Amino acid sequence: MNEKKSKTDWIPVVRQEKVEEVIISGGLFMEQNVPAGSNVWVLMTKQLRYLSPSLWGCQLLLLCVAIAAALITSMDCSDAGYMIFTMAPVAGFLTVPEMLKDLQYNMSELESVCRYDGAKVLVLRLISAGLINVLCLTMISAAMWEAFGVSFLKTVIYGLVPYVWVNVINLFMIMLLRIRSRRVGVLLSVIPAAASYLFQPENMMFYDGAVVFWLAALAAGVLLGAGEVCLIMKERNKREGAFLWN
Amino acid sequence: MATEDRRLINRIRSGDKGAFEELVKRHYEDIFSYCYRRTGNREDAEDLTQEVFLKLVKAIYKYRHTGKFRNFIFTVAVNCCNDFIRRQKTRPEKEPDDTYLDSAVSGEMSPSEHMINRENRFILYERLSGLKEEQKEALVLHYFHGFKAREIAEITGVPLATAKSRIRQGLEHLKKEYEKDKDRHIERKGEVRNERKEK
Repeated sequence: MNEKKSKTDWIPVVRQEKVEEVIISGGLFMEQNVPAGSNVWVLMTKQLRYLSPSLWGCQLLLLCVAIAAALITSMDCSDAGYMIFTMAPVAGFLTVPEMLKDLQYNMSELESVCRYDGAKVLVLRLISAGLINVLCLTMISAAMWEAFGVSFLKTVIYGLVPYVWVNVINLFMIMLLRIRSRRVGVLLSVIPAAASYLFQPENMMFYDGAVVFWLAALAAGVLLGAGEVCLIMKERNKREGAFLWN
Repeated sequence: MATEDRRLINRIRSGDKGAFEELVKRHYEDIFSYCYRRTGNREDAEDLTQEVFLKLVKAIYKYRHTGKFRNFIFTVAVNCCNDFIRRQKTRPEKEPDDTYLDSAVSGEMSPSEHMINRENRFILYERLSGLKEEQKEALVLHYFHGFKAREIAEITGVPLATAKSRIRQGLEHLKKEYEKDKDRHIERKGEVRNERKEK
């Protein structure tokens, strides 16, 4: 304490029995409330349950459409690559309503003060939804590779690059611009998905030298996405403190 | 000191009750004195101090080391006191208890010093009670607990300029009240002198 402390003080002497009372009640609370272990795997499975079955259904539908299109229509290698490129943003778009579910039901404040770390829960939710999409894209790529003999690495990158970039833009718009309405968020997320169709990458595909460009785009997208997630975690933690103490 | 608090919090998180005891002993007096200055009543201050520590232990797993622990625990204390005062406004006003005036008197004081001290403390309590709650809160934190304006802003959740102006306005208000007292005292002295002359 600094020198400014007033000399005109009138505080009574602390009663030791009161201090003991605080210690005993705090100790009792500690005994009754053993912290819940926040095992990452347990949290992850909880978040998988949080995701709506309609998302799983949409992913399955997407997968079926891709495989059916490959089998029924007379596609060639470039068509197959382009199809993956166009399907990936759709997969990214499908997860947006899930990520904004807490806003619709006004649960974000409650989540922030729950026994698990709110920021960790959000990130695990993003990872869970992302993993489902990546799994779906990989399965589509594997089907294309099997049907048309397109390089597996190339088909995976053609799917991942638009997927990652659409998500980076969605995250930027929804989380960092502090959008607080699920409808607005979903409507805005149509923009990056639609914009990806304006980008015609056929010339960049199937040209061996272009693989480096695609890999660089993927790496840049992943780095930007990771940066955004860090910012979101920081913001969440800050808000969490405010919820707790006010 | 901050490192010691951090160490204690980590130990509490791992379920060490001894660490909680140590933390309470380290900060009890500081928090109690703050609550006492805000409420002016020993029982209320003791209850509020208990509430602060219980809130702390309930949310200890959510605490992050982002600044001084003392600022953090005072934020909890400020919120508890403000809630209490808000609740009290709907109830009949309490008189300051006797301990408020009789305590903290040094055993070395002569009876006259005791009286002056008692009177000064009573006047200061009255003056502080006349301030707006937010000004009183800022003044108590600044002058009795040694917090800087920046820290007060952080603790009370207001911009720095607001914290500074609360301190300034509170001081100005106190100054005016003391000046009025002085004038009244001089007037009274004059009246007594006149009465004596007349006699």
